[in-house]
Amino acid sequence: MMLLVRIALLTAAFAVATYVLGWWAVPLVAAIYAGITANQQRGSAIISAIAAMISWGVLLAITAAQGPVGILAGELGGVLSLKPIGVYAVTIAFPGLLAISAAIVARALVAGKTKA
Amino acid sequence: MTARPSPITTFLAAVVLAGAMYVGFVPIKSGPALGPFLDPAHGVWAVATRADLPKNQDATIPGLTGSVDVRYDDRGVPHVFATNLLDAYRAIGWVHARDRLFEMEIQTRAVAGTLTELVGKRAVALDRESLAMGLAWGAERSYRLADSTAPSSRAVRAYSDGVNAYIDQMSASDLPLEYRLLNAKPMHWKPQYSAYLLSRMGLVLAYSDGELRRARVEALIGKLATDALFPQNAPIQEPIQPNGQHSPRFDFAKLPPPQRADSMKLAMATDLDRATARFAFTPGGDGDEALGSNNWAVSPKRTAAGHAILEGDPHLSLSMPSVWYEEHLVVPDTLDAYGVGFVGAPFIAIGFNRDVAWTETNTAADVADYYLETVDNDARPAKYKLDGAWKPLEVRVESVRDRAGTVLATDTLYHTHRGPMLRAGKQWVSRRWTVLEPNDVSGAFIRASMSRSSAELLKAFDTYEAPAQNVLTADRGGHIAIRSTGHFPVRPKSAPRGDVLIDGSSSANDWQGWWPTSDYPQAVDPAQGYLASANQQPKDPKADPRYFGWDWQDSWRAMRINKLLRADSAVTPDAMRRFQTDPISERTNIFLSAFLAAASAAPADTALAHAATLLRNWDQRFDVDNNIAILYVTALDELTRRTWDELLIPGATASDRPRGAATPGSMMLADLLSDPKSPWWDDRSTKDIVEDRDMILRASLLAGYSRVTKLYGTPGDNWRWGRIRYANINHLLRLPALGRLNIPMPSGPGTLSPSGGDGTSGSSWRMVVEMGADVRAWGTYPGGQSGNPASKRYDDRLPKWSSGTLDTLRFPHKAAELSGGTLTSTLTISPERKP
Repeated sequence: MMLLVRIALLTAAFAVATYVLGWWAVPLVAAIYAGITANQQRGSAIISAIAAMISWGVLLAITAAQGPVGILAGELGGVLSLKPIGVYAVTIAFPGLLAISAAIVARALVAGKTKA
Repeated sequence: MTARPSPITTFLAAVVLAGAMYVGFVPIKSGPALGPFLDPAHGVWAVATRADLPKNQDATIPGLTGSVDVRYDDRGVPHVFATNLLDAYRAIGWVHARDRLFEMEIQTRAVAGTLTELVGKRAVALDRESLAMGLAWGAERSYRLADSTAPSSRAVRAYSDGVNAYIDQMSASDLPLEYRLLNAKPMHWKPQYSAYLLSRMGLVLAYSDGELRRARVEALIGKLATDALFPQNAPIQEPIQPNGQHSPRFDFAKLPPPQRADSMKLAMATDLDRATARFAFTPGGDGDEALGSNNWAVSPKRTAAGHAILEGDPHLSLSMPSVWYEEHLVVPDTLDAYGVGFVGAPFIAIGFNRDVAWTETNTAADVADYYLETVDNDARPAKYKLDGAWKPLEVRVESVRDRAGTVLATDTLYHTHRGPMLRAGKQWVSRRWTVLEPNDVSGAFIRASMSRSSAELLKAFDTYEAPAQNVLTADRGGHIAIRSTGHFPVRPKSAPRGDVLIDGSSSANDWQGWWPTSDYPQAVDPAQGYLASANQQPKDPKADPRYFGWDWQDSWRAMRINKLLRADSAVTPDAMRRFQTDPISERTNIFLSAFLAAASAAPADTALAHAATLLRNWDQRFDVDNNIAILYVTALDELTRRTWDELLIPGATASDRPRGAATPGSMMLADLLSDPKSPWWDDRSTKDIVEDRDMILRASLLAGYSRVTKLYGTPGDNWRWGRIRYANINHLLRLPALGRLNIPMPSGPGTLSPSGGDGTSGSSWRMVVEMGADVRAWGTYPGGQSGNPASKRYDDRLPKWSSGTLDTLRFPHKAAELSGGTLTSTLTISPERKP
């Protein structure tokens, strides 16, 4: 239960940060979260990645409610030589990649300091 | 419990993070950085949120003097209700920018020679061509010399204010898709960019380098044959200005034989052609045939309802989004005009108001001449010789830069008093061209949209300069009129023709002024009860033998329109609509008869007999479902290539473009059919045989049949015209996904909706207007009002356009008439509040 709440809160944090600051807030939030939880739990990097992907998925769904995202995905897919599903996949995977890598690096740095 | 990731994991994560951050922040080539691009809130996905027009929106424009009510109808057409003219132009600038901002910028940059800054290095060559042409140079000069208090100057400034107000108020989500793909931001708009746009139209419609092609042809076949194959006067006379005849006149004459090629002249002419190619953009794929336009008008005495009806159908290079934007501008007691305008300019180019309708086709008069110049220094000229004295050249140094400002290419460009000058082998050649002369084209269109009768409308165009247009009009009083309008040079006796290279060392060879308006080809309320133009020779040379040009389009479309109008004494708007995509060409019967007669005169050959049977059973229609049209078109193509083989450039291979110096029009080929033993029929690749007409006709039909079966198999569905020939509407960036390709069309070579080889040109706006007590109008164009590919308004007009049907155009008197189901969106534009 706590895990789901954690993911939900983190998702909200990613979404708000992306909306207010931009895409680069994703690794920032992931690093902060990993730093805070470095001494408490394993798997924070994966949790960050999942939350980041969900948050961008939610933002995309909100955008879809305001316009024909499906048509745009088709046009973009044509331009980028991808299937529409590929355009969605890249969009969702990108924050996941940023979050998991930032979280691992942050955790290593914080854990190293704690140990020292 | 602390679990530190292993060093390897940490290292890999650091590499992935660095890589992701890199592609997130750093643009890839001329594309976007991935981070802001994929951002689902503000990135490329936000383009979808701007696909539909908001139900209600407020905006401000600095300098606006009153509130402007813009109502979009159910076809996405903005109806702009303003209290004064300048406010209407400010509002339409804002509206154009919202729907077509990228298009406005890319077509401006194409003229300015700054495309490279937007799209990268691939545009360097194009930019150098643009700068050498001097279109922006001419437009800037025109803007500089214009009276700044003139209505047109004020209009383009007001329009510019509207465009910039939109750009300044754009949010991150408003950025069009193309800017995101190119990682670019919109540039600010300048009033003179409207003049740039008109220069571009001049390039498309009034550019001619016929003298250069002609020089090469003359080197190959001699002057006599050149004059015969590329005559000043069309061999089939169906002129725009009616000549009192009730059918076309065939002025066919025996063609003189080709002379021996002159290799020295040919080398010189080829140098000229290559060098002066920099005066123009590389020609498009479709050639001239599909760039034709039609218009016609019928007097009340020949219409079913007793009202004048006008039809407009300009043909241009097609693009997504379209060159046209449909709009309705209303200013009480001053302006109430509906039609299409160019995005980038404040006026309606083709349309109607409550009293008068107007449209244009291209005149194709010769308004560009080339002069051979003598310079003081072949390598770095500073002066040119005129009347025995050295005159200083105007020198421009132009650079092409990338977005960072790095210079990628620099050219020194020269101007004589005539215009731009370029080196051509060992010679220098300059060009005078009406499109580069100071002009007030916007003023003519602005006045036209406010005229109250056909007579007033023609008067509005009295000072119109370029590109020369056949302006057709019909009014509510039942009058119809047409006039070929533009600046037509008065040439001196020493250089009376513009289709040859002129000696530039004497000012006596310069143009001496412009034709008076009264001399323009024109007609008002002709006895025949209708008027039609299709880029044919405007005036019968028997009525006026003066040199006016020579590069007329073949008369087939003019013949077809006249035939249809002669046959219908109770024309309806729907008949006018049907005529627009009439699938028959007047030239078909001539060549079809020749093929069949030649085939029947020969000993039986199975393949030839089969091909002839297929043609004999053909209904001569270029419908999308037709299965034989492709055979006829391919056989005619073979006939053309085989007949004019004398014009092939010696040594040119099949991959050379062009392989031939020029190809005479199909009217000349029709002319030649009457001379079965002409030496032109001989196929020079066969050394032992001298072919005659029927031999070449049979060989062409057989070769055509062989080509078609090889490409498409046995006759049947694979031969269907709609599967083989279609319209291809490319996106402005040539991105196939954003274009609309392979659209079957009821059109063919020589039909009223002509199609060219690659289908990239064609009908760009079709309109029918009935000038009754209450004006009724119908129209459509390929594409849609929005430049946003995610919008349904991006391509919603294509189905009707491709099927030849039209939408009813809404022409409300008051804003309140648009409500409920007919109203899509409301935009209220107010003056900017002072802080």
